Amino acid sequence: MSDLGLYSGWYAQLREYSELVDQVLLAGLGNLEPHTEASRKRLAKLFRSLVGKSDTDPTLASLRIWMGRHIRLSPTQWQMLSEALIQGSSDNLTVQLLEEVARKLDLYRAQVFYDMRGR
Amino acid sequence: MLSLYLVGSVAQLQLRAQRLVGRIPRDLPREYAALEQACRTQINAIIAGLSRLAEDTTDSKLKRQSVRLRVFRRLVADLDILEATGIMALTRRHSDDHLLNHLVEQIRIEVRYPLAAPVVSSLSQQYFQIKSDLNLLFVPLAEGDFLLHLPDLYHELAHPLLSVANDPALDPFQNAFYRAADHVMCHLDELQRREDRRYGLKAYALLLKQWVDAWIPFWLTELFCDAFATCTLGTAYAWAHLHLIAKRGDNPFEIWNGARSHPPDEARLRVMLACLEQCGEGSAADRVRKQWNGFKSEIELEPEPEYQRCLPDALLTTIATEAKVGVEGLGCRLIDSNEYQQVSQLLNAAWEQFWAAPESYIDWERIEIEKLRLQSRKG
Repeated sequence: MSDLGLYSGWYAQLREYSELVDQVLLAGLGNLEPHTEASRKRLAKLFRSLVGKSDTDPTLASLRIWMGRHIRLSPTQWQMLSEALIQGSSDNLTVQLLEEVARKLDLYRAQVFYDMRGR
Repeated sequence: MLSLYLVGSVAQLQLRAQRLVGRIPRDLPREYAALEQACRTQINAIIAGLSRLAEDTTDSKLKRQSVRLRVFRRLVADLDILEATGIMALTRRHSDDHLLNHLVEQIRIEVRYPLAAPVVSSLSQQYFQIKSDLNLLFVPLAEGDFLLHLPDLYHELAHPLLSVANDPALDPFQNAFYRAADHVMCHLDELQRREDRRYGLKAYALLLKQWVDAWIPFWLTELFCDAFATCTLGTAYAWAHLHLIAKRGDNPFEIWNGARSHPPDEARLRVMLACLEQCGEGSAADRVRKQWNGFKSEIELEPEPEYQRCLPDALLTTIATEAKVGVEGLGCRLIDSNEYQQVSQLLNAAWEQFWAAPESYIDWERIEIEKLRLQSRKG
């Protein structure tokens, strides 16, 4: 019956991915240094899974559903972001798209935070 | 403007975090050691994050002020949560909590719960709730004086089984959850394909959207926790749920309110009854069903046609089946075991006593609670 229990797992996941996107933005999309590799790979995998059913991680089911419904990027844009993360492309459009993902994710994280904690 | 704002705010938040560490009592009993350590670790991580944010003001990488603001907000949220949960539980602990901590440890042993028992604090402002990352369970202030709602402890214990990551011992339960999530998604996809237009395309599409947003992160989680509690405790959990429905006066068939984090109460009860039946407790399920039907006729509420479409029997039965397989996979003791389980028997006996002799129940309960208190002081 717990709101805290119910939200806290979901909140932790939103927080984690919100942070991952910001880490990549901070490091710079063109930065392919080894210490950013893990973050990039995880994000690229998540974005790729939004396009097709292959390579899906069941633990990310809720996040995938939420992102697919609330971040209105086309399949081509998700695919482009995923490839940019692996290849290190950092053109303006890609950075803008990633910033849009970061903004939406963090906004929702804040909303869940207030649902969990109460205003 | 933002840079100046962050200079002042980051410094103040660092100080607040340090003050919280300073407030942790130095004479905590041993059972609070893990919670204290978790709080210290999390606060230190927040302080480190704030230090990086402060140092980064001159870093060229951090020209992105929007990112800096988001990082700051996340750290503020982290500290807010910690202050309102872990630190509060440590600084406001009460001797009454000892009984509940003893009880939860007993439950852990009886059920063969695969994780450490959470610390219990009677400071909840929102019924029973658990904070999995701190392994901290909140219950209402006077809950330790009564037995009829204590079955909800079993439900709360199930939340960490779904949210704790990287523990292979929890895979069977978590994998069962993902299989059930696939069933739910197939069901919702099918509804989407057969979109009902009687209410107008927009209204039904909106309802479907709310169901999709609520089902996997929230409803399915709750239903799995209900199933865990029913499979390990038995009928007492279903009675406690019925008790809550009767007391709170909510519509048990509500599906239109998108803000609801919990599945409709009636659907939760159906999962519990399915679990009881699958655990060989069909006659107990019938007794609960009979009381529920009587209650339903009194409140004169009926589900709308969409209700069965959102929560069909077949789907709820599948969820109950998957959850039971998951609980078995954890190696937990199910209710069909013949082994003596003191807490489980007491909580089930309390409900039998309640229905058999409601007029004298509170006297019986007072004596049983007293016995529990004596035992917890010895133990």
